[in-house]
Amino acid sequence: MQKRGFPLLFVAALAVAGGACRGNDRTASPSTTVTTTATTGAPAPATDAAVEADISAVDGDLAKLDTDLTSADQGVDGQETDPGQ
Amino acid sequence: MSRARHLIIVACIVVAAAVPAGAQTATTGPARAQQLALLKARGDAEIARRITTLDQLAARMSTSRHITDADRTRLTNETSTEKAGLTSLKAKIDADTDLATLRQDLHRIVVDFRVYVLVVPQVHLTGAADAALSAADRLAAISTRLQTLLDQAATAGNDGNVLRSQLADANAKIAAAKQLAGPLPDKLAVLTPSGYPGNRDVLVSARDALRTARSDLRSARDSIRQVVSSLRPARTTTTT
Repeated sequence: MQKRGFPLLFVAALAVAGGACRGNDRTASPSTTVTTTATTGAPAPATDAAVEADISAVDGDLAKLDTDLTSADQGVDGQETDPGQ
Repeated sequence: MSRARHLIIVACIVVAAAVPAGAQTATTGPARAQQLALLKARGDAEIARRITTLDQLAARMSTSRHITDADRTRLTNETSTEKAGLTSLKAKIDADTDLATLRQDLHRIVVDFRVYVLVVPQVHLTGAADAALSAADRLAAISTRLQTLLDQAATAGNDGNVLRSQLADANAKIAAAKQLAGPLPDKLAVLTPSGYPGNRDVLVSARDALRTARSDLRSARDSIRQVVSSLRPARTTTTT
């Protein structure tokens, strides 16, 4: 019971947060938006997408970290050949 | 007796003088010119390769967002100085007429600049630290938002202890990663070619720290994904 109520609260909070972010776009009644979102049982699409985008950005940073570490490996473990020899 | 001794001494001097003269003769003429040209071409190619690499490193530095302006300036100046030095050395190599001097100058391409064993890892490790700090900041921002939702849930009577624990683990990993990556740009920026190979230990320890930070960040990201996934309810199409 407690487990089901928890996601619904999350949805409502996301809907309110998403609505606040939309600002001037929300010319319709705020209560209409919140009620509609909560009764569909799914997160507000804009907010859900924003979280996914943030996590994707983290994945991008970690990919850069991988690339840089691999590039550094070659230098840290390598040696330069003297072209005069 | 005395005259004979003088003759022996003179003969030794003549032989001693003849050895280097003979050696010199062996490397004069077309063969020597060919060897000079070959070594110069090799030196020019090695310098060109390094300048291309330095340009790529400068581009990598320009996209870093979390290092300080001072560190970025120091590394940018270092790559510029290296390019100028290599360009100057190329002019000297091209003008060399003596094989021994040419060989010394070719040796300087490596020891005076240390492009591949110092500057390349120096810049990439700084870039890696920058990426780690960027990931840590993003994860911390997501975590803060999730924490707010959990707090609101707690106020409404939903404890969410498991999720709180997962988020706390993620926060600890994020903090650890920042602590590891944060000091590295400053430590790396001060390394110079003249300090190599003595300063190689700094490169090795920086790489080890970043490998641990990467592991921490992956773990934090996975925990945060689990929290988000747990908070997201099953999608239904129920309408009222």
